[in-house]
Amino acid sequence: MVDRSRTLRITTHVLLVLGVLVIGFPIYYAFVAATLPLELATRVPMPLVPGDHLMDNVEQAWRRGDLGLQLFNSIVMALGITAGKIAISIISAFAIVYFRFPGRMLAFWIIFVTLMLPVEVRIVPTYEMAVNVFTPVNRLLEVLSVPVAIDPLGYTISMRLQWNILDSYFGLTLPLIASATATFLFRQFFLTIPDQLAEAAKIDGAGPLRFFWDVLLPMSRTNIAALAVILFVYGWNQYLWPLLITTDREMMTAVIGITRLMPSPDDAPEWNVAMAGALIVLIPPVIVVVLLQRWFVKGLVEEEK
Amino acid sequence: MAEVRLDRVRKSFGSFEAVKGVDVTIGDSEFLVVVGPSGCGKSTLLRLIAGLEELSGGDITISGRLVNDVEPKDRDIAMVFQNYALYPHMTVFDNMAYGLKIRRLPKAEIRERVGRAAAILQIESLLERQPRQLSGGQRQRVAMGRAIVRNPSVFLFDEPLSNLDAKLRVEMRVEIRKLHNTLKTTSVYVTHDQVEAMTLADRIVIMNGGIAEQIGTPLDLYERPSSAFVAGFIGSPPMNLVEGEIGQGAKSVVLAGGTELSLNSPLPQGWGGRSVTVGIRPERLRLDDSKADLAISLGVELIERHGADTVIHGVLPNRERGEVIVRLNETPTIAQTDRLNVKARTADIHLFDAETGKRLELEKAA
Amino acid sequence: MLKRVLFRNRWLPYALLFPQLLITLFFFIWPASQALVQSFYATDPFGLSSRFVGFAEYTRLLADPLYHNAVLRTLVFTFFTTSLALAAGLFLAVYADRVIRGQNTYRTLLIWPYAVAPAVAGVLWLFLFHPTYGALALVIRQTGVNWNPLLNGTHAMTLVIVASAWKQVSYNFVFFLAGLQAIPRSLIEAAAIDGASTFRRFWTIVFPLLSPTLFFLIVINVVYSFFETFGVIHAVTRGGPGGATTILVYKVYADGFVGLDIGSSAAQSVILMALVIGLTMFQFRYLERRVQYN
Ligand SMILES: Nc1ncnc2c1ncn2[C@@H]1O[C@H](COP(=O)(O)OP(=O)(O)O)[C@@H](O)[C@H]1O
Ligand SMILES: [Mg+2]
Repeated sequence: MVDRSRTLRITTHVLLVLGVLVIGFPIYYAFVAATLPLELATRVPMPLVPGDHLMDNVEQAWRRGDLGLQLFNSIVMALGITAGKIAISIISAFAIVYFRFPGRMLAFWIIFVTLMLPVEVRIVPTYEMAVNVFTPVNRLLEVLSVPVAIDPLGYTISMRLQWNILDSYFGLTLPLIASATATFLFRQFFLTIPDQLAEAAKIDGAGPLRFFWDVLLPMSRTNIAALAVILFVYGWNQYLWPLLITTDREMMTAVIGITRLMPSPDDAPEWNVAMAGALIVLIPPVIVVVLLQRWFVKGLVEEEK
Repeated sequence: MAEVRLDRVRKSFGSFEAVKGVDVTIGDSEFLVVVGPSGCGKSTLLRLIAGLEELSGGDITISGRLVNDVEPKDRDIAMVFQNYALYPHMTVFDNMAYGLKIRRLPKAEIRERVGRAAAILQIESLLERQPRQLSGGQRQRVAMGRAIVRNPSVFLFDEPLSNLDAKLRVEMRVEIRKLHNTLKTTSVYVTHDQVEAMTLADRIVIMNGGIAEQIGTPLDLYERPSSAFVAGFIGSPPMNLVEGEIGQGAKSVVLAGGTELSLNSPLPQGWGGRSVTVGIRPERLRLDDSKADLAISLGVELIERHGADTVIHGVLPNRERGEVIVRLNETPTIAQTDRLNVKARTADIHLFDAETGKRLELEKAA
Repeated sequence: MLKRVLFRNRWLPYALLFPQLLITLFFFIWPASQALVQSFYATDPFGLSSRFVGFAEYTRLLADPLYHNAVLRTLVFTFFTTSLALAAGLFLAVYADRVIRGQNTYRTLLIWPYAVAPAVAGVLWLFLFHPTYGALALVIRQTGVNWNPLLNGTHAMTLVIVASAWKQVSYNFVFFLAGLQAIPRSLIEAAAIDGASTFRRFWTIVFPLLSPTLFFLIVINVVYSFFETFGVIHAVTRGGPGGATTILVYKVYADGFVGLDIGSSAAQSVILMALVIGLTMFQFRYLERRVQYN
């Protein structure tokens, strides 16, 4: 019996270690390549022991990919999406759970359908929105044909509002900020908070905003932390949307930028530089996930409910 | 001077009427207990006083001020909840101080008031802890402390002891009453536990299905229950209620199963043959082998010996459902299989109308 | 479930909802309805004129062999990506669940690929599978296969499947592990006392209890394969070679932004939307039922 369980234990560990190695191999391989000079990195087969050119390659990647700027853009985008989503979701969940008002269910459903409309299925019209955010307003004005001013000669001057968010931080973040998932998560959480807590606060003299700020927000800390990890990764890893709306190199995000470091068939096969770049780009979200693992796992698993 | 007046207070949830017109005035410094079975509308009534529910009808006045449309925070009340409702992320001190902070009291005064309340409740050593580091009894004290620091004119309690274990419940019950004797704050206390009600209350409101069945002192309710419902609710073990009939000639009561109890003083003539519910408290039954007029013969089913007293579960002859409980202060030597003769005084017999459940007044009749 | 305690305020709830509703209306509802509108119009590539064509775009699309091709590729891609990612995640979770000491270490070592962007995952795996320099390509070539994902469609498909699945394993692992840990030990012990073998115990007790998690993950993985893998495809194959890795979402992008065929792209968007809506509804119906069972 003891023998059997011991064999079982060893097999388990062996299999898990194998799994870890298989899962980790692409990164290790990339890491080794990133430490090698070009001759070694392109040798077939490539050595599997790290070399000493890591700093060179990192520097090359940093300079050529303009990673300083792009990482900054990525951070702004990821943090903007994280903060924005959490902020608007938590207050809308608060409104839906703690108030009764005409149109409540309608608002709930409008938010709910966003669950079914990932950015990928509406890229062209969303892009058009980014070209001019006021498109729907203009369309509305057209339909209502509001003459803003009529000049003496009888021409109708109509008003057109224009706000282009291409190649801007607004463009990178705003369209990705609305999220049914986060709203639902907070709604679920608020529903588990006993009614008596809000009643006690009411009797203590707290109004809705005070209750939100003093009680609900501090109580949501863990949920916020969990969500923040997930949203940071989500924001950092965005690809399609930044690809569409950034043409200016100054506004490019790191994940997009890094794919441009990949050697094309005509260039020198500088995979060592490309891999150094890839590592730089994947490290920030990986660190966030690993360090905040406890919250991150909690956040993920709660999403299911 | 905090007097709380409820005037035909009603509350409906949709088509369901939870409180159907309650009239009661809670005098200054009075400790009023609202008791009744689960779902009878006690909490709703309390929440109406607190302003947590909107009235569907009637008026509520606190210290002479009509508060129908006044927000809870402006009613000068404090409430203690069954689950304590402590803010989980705040220390005990902050929990107690929160209401005072919102009211922008000076820091020094807040500290002073919290300190005083903590001293009264003996929780000074807990002030820096968080609620999750406290035991149930300690949380209960903090919840009370939060109410006390505000120094309100009315305390509202919604089953504050229900989440405690039996021993602690008895201890806290005593403390709450002592506290009231010190602070003399007008209090409304909701519970489903009649023992709590009897021991705490100056007066009791007993509710049933949204209606106040009876309002009175604990002894009123005990001695002169206004209905069979009240009779069966108050007392432990509860009053024996047996179907019966007033005998022809209105000089006796015939219990289901045939036992006839003749009464010292005759009932009104017209009552002869009337169906009634006969109530006799278990502790008012005495062992009696003399075959006296008021003797009831019981088959013994179960004997519980509590030490201080003995509770005997018996059945009337020829009747399955007519259970009669006898509570004796002595420890008689009776075997399970014995038959038993018990008797009651006429004054200890309560009669209720079989249909309406309302009390039939013997004295008045006589 | 409704809260009983409510705050009363005439305008505050609207103010609180305003930011989210505004963004939702502007960037979700409006674009989605525009996609619907555009799908009924044929627009010239420069967006200068458009005319109403009814369902013409849809009929054209459904008759288009290129679209059929994309549908087929998507199904193949989704099936293999999802199966691979689920199987690997479940396998690792089952073993990690057995570990008593060191479970957190394993979790840490297995969780991080979740944080890697699909596009970056694509780049890593392209290097591994690179016909000239890739370590794995070398191994494959030694088996006699003339491995070249840059030219061979099947090889390219294999590459994007592996890269996409790799990134998703962590996610599935986390959920399966949570699901496994939620199964009461006593149940498994009872089965062990009844004499069931480890293997039997897994299939007759653990697996059925895990099925809600599995179902949830299938939906999530399908949605992932459909949409989020765009980065892998765009970074690695650009839908090639010869359309071999052009999945539906890539085609929406390619037709809309490269081919500038707005009408067709819009019609494709609408079809995809219908698909997501169907999937979401399906999942909700299922979740509801599950709640009732419990
Ligand atoms: N917010 C509400 N909505 C609908 N029905 C309610 C609400 N609050 C209480 N009720 C109903 O009113 C009745 C009385 O409730 P309550 O006052 O809480 O009873 P209790 O005497 O047990 O405290 C119950 O039947 C309950 O279901
Ligand atoms: Mg109650």
